[in-house]
Amino acid sequence: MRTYDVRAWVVWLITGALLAIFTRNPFYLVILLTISRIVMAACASPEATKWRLPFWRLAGVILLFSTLFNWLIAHLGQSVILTLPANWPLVGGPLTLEAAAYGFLSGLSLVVLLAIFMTFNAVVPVHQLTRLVPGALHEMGIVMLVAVTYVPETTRQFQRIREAQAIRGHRLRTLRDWRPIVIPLLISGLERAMNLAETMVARGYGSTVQVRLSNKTRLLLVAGSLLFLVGSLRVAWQATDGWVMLFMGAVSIGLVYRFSSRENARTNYRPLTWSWADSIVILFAIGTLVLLIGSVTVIERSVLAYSPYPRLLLPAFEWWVGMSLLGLLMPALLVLVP
Amino acid sequence: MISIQHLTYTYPRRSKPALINVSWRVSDGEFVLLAGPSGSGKSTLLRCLNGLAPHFSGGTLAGEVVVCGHDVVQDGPQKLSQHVGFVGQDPESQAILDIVENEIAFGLENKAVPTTEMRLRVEEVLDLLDLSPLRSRSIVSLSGGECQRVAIAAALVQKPSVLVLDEPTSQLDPQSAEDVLRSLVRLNEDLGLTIIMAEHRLERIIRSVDRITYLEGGRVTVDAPVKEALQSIAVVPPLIQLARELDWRPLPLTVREAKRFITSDERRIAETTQSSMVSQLVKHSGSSLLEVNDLSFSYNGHHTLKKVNLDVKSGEAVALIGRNGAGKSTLLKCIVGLLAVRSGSVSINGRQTTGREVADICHEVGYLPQYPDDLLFAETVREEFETTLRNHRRHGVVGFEDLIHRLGLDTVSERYPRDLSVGQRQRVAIGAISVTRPRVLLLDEPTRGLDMQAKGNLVSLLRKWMDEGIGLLFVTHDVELVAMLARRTYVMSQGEIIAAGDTHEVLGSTPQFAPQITRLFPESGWLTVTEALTDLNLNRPTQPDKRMV
Repeated sequence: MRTYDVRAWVVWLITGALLAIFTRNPFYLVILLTISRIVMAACASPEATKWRLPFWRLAGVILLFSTLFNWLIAHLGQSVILTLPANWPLVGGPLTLEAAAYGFLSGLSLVVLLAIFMTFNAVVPVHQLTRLVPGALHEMGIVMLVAVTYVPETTRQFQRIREAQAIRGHRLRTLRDWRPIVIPLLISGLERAMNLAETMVARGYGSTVQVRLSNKTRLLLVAGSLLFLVGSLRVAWQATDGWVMLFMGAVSIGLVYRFSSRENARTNYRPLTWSWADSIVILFAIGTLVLLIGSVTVIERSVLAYSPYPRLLLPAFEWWVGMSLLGLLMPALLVLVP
Repeated sequence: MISIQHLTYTYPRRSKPALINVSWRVSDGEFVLLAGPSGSGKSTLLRCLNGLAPHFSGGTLAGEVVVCGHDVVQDGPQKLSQHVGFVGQDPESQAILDIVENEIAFGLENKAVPTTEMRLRVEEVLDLLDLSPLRSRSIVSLSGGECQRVAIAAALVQKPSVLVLDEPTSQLDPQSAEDVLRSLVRLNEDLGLTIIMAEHRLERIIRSVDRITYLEGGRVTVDAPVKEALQSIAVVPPLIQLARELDWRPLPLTVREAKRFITSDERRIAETTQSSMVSQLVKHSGSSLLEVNDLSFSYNGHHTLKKVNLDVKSGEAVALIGRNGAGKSTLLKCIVGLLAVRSGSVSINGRQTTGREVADICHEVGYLPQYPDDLLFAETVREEFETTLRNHRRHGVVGFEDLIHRLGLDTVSERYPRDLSVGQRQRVAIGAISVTRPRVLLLDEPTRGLDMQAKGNLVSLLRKWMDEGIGLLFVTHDVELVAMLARRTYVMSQGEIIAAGDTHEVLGSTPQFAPQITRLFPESGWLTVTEALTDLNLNRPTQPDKRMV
């Protein structure tokens, strides 16, 4: 089975998320949703798909709330369904079909965003994500990884303790009743943390490689931060030199990143390898993004936007937009190529 | 390899040292078993070998510990991690990362070992511990034994010359424990790795080790080759106990070795006598306290329990045995209502439990879960008991002084429960679930993690309760416990009861579950040392008892 580099997935995620945020046209949203589900089905490892949020149930709740909320609160639009007494706070006034439709579309956009993140979550193992963390911040990556193994264990423990307390006649009613559950959970959590720390020490954690910044890097860090601070102040005062300072600050912080990563070399058990398929995934994702969002500057309107106001009309569907969205389907298509 | 001179170690804020004047040597390639009751200093001694004590735990250390030419106190655990691999007790809390391979590579990545070398070393330990089929699995999905093998692999990948294990099998079922031990024996024999291991359950390990070091109260009391050491240790496995009583020398360590010592007289007695103990155990046969009829339970579409029938009578102990995942614990949870049954019924004291709340059911049934620590949260032992009574809204009842006494907790009743020893904590938990005086007790793996002493205390406590008419149903992997306690035994497999009946018949006819004594005298129907000795002495016609001389 083909797997992609985590960096390719990050580009895919950013593209998908940006499109989901900017799109209100229901046709395109549905296409995006379908694509993300197909990619998940095609690329997720069977083990990762075992543990999932109940997506459709969650989507239903989001759509329902978003629609109801907008329908009751926004009193815009021409197709009035019913009118509530005007003196009712917030909900009083005409309730329109357009408001409901707008709420539904906003909800749909959220659902698509959720679907894209869930796909990313299912196809990229967490330990791969930490590879993106530069060497100097290695510890932070480890903390994240440890947390990932720690959380499911804690939920299991919570379940066990609840059962253990229930059999001695414990019932959860008031806040005070949480004490018999929280205390064992806390204590066993601490015990587990101590065990883990002991294991890490016994396996030589923190022994040979030490995170250390050279003086040069430190100076750069200070200078970069100062430039950034002064630059943003200057920009706030509308001075053009502020932009130059901001840029220089960004460059020096980038250099700090680079130096510190080089000074704190780590090795990886499985180094990331880049394949042609990763390049194609990235190219198509960026292509889609440029085509759909960049087109705003050329045709001076967003092809993705759609507004039901003032009167609900069927949204337009342009074939080339639909086709370009398929660029995000690349990861699933390449799986078919041997 | 290891040389310890006059080691005395005291934990921070403790007045009594955990280790007192220990001098000990281990030479290259030895497999040493560290035995002794819990709290005797086994874990502490192991932690002194790689510098976790005093570097990680604090405290004061006097004397000298030298491992592989390194002074442990000076060099500390990080440096020693290259020489001493350490594996702890609880398989689950040792996993740092999520995937098997990454977990093993963790230490090497941290040391910035070059990728090519790292691949080679990981590959090597995956083979050594038979882990390559599991390499890309997530740790959460592994069984306890597999987890423990991953932990050993993660220690071995650093290429240590000593492997130190702190009760690595105490949380495992027999099959997983066997797998772990087999791996260790192979490492010792094939690679000449020095292994030092602390363990309670001696029966499986004694045939593989070279030497036993026995600790008591922080001092080394016995330190000798296996056979010699077993002569002087107080609590030993049944086979050794019998061999000592019958004066078999040199001590046999396996059933096969022991069979050579059986005289024709003894064989004749074993074949002809009907065990006198059978009738003794059957003396109580009261009314039925717990009845389970055609109980089924399914989880995620899997039939975890299929039409289970079971009953427990007043004054008897019933054992439930079977492989891991056979549905034993699930059955207990269904009985107390923690899991909703699909069909069938449970009745306690003649009343159906359908539709009743867990709290209400547990008023009449005491259920001890697998991890008794989950119950403990109060400031004092006494308060734990009061809490249960309060939960059941029985403020007025002040009858638990007697219970505290009978559980042997008088001296610690005002102490913080979590500071007590494993055995004491378990008794507090038993007290907390039985303070409403239920007539039925359900115990899930009651001997897990207990040393021989604590196990003995538990057995005598339970026997006393049975005499008073309490019915007992317990789930266990410990066949010796079954032999000592249970009148009837049920065997479960894949959610079904596959065998049920008198313990002597059930254990006698299934070699997998047979206790050592039964394996030694297959025709006899004996399960325990006491049974065997009673019959042998009663029926021995000639010469006076050897032991009297």
